[in-house]
Amino acid sequence: MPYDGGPMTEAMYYVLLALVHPNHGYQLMTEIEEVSKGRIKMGPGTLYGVLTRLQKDGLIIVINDDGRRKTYSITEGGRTALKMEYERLISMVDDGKIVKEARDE
Amino acid sequence: MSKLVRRFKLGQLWEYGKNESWYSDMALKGLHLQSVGNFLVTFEKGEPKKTKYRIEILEESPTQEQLDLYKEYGWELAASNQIFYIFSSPEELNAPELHTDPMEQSFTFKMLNKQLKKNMILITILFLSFSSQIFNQFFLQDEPYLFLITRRSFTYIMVVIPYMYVLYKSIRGYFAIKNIKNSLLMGIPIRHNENWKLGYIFSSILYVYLIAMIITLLFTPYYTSAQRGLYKYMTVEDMPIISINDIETGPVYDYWHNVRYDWSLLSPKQLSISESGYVEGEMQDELSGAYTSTSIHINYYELAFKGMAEGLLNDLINFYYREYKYDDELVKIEDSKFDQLYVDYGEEKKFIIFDRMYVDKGEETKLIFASFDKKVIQIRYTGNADIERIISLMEEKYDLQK
Repeated sequence: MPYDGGPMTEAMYYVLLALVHPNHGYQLMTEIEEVSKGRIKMGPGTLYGVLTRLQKDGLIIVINDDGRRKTYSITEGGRTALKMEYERLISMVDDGKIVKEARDE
Repeated sequence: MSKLVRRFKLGQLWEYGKNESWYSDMALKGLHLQSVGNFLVTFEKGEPKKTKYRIEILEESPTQEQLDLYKEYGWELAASNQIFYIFSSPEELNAPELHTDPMEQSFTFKMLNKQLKKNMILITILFLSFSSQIFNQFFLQDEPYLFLITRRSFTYIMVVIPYMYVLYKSIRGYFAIKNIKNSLLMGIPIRHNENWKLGYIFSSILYVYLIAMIITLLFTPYYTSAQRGLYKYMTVEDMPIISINDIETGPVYDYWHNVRYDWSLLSPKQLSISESGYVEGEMQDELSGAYTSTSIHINYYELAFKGMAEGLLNDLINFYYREYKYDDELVKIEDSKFDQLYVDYGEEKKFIIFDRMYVDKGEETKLIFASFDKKVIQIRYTGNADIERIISLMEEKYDLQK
């Protein structure tokens, strides 16, 4: 199913995030690990699965393909989707504050 | 050069757990996956090793960088077939799984799911049209036994069995992938260890069956023509039938005969014999002189099962009267030496049109339908001899005693 603006998977979110700067698969893996501060170790199958899917949904495009490697970049649509997800996550965290407050009492 | 070992493919490649476990067990025996074809899987002989295998769906062929990345993570491409790529990794490397996100992995089944659905619908439609045709042939025919003893009916059955299996597999496959997809969506990872032995036995049986079927279908015409050749040079006296030379008391002039042989599994011997000639007789008219024509046509069937004899006999009678006759004068002879015996004396027929009576002397054609044991015989005789004489000759020929 094409992306419909609903919640993203963690893998999808981080791949989009890492593609804010155009990048290729190999570099992406390291970038994702860095951005998530080592929390996310994505399997190569998952990474390329996400890349294929995002490309189909038009959230990323291949800007260079020399046969050996492909360089991917986020599209405008991808940026919008990423921003919306970011805001959704922020409000989720905000709403979650009551858990902390309840514990503080 | 290393030795290659080939095996039948195990089911379909999307049966992840079974195939992966099978490849691992083979590697443990020193047989390492080398390539996967459409029917055969090739292994290379080497040192026994503990190896893990993972099947991946890649909709686009992977770039070198992608393969390098998999390698970096401990997974090397071992073989591929269409959208399926099989990666291997030595057990001791303890490589991380290719997929770390079940939900994302479930999306990789989307295309396969669609493909299998299309497949299933197509196979079902084909099967329905094919099986309705078979149903018509077998059950809606006026003479089902006459169809059953043909070679064609057996071919239908031979083809329908693997077809049913394919249909079953396509329906099961569609729902299996749908289930995997859905459980991945709920975060349940794929099972990589599954017992492959039963599945392997089943697909081997299917392959052996298909090969046997193809060989049979290929060699059937050769066997038939060889047998036909054999009967071509045999004299009628050596065949399990009575000849007009026996029936007629005097010599038969201008004798001519024709033999057609056929066979099928349900009726291993089928002979269709025609004989004709002239015998000396009363002067009938200027043209034919003192000769009368005589001819006989015999259909002789040997069946595989005695239980079919009655059905076939009835079918032969039905077929004959439907095709050639307008009214039924067949007499059942009780208390004969045959299991069943029907005769048509071929006497003159009377019928009325516009209040006037007509007499049709016909062609003096006499009919005999008989069965005994596994044999069924149909005789159509035109000539001067009595039907009783033919029957007693038959009893002699087949050594019938009561």
